[in-house]
Amino acid sequence: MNSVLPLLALRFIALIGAQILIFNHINVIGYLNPFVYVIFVLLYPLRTNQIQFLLISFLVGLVIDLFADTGGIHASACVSAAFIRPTLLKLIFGVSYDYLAVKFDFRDTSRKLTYLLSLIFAHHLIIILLERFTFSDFLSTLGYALLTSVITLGFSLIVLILFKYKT
Amino acid sequence: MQQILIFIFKNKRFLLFLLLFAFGLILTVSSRAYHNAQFWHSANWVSGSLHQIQNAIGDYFKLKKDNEQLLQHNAILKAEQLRPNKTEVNLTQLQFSIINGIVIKNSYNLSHNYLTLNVGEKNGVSEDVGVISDQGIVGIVDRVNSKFSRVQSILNRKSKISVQVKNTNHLGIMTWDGVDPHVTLLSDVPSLAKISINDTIITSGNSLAFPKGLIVGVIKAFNLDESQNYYTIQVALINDMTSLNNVYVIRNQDAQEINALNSTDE
Repeated sequence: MNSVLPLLALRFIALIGAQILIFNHINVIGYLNPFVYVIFVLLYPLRTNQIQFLLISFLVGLVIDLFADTGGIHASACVSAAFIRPTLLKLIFGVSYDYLAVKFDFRDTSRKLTYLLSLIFAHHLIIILLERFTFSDFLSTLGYALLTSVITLGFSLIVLILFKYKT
Repeated sequence: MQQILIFIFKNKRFLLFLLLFAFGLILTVSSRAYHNAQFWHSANWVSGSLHQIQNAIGDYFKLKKDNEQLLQHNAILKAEQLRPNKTEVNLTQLQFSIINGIVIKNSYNLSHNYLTLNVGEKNGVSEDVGVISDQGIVGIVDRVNSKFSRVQSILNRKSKISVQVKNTNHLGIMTWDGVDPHVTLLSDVPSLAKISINDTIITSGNSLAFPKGLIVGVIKAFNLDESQNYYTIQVALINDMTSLNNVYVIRNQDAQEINALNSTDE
């Protein structure tokens, strides 16, 4: 754990910095804002203390909220994503997921993409629901969340490939 | 007792999740509901400073466009100055003073949008003052500290701006539905009013934030609501809220006195 700590700290700063300084200013077709920082939560080391993981995810969201003036939306969404992550991993990679060491070398891509997209979608859906704070027009919310998730996935893959991001 | 402890220990992950999620929700709701009770916003010094640094870098890329805008604005002022009958200066305008500010953070794709300005109490900004750009209105300051201030954009579902149709005296309330950053909604204009597409919408001067007569936008489309008594009007903003840099904070010198007058009623 000690050897990954500096790496995690670096990721924390780099991803949050990139989100605030770059991705918060990218609006694909005018209004789709990617939340790339979520890959910090997605690709947090698999074998980890879950309690610690929840707390760190919450902190990540809270810092993003501070800079985006969104109250506690990102914090709630991040902590939810962290909470459902083990279940989702089990669903997609089978029971033995923590021996599988999910790496992003893009050979066993379909499962990894499913994992990334579904967790990104869950995270974005919570953000957008909390942001709009209504269940009316739920279909448009779903569509918007899905579109934004695809955009985020695209940017995330670019980041992952560029920086040889490992789990 | 032991069973409770065992239960808590077994479900500590779920309970921690609930706790954190609830905390996040409270932060979210309180940022919507209360005006002053919250620290977690972009006008505090940490995020304010970072946004300012970022803006200082980003500014250079916008210089050309800014220059063009300033030149245009100068041209308008020049024309005003050269107009022969400039004696008709509106005396009521003098009750307002102007503070220059720069937008260091802007958003327009949320349903509750805020801007951060690089001016604060030190420069004379206070809460509830209006902010305009050279093309139209921008929003109302809802939070200040010594160096920065946060503006509740007109593109915010909480915003309600008192406006009127130019050349009539029919007032209405301008709100935003959270969809298009170029279009706002105007309600409460009675069906008696004679309006047509491309009529100009101006501020009414009823609120302390904005003086009367600032151009807001033009009517894009309108129809009567169910009760047939009021119009629902779509207003195309003249101001491009997606690209703002130089703005002016308008301080109403009489605000305190007017507020004092109104508060005696209660």
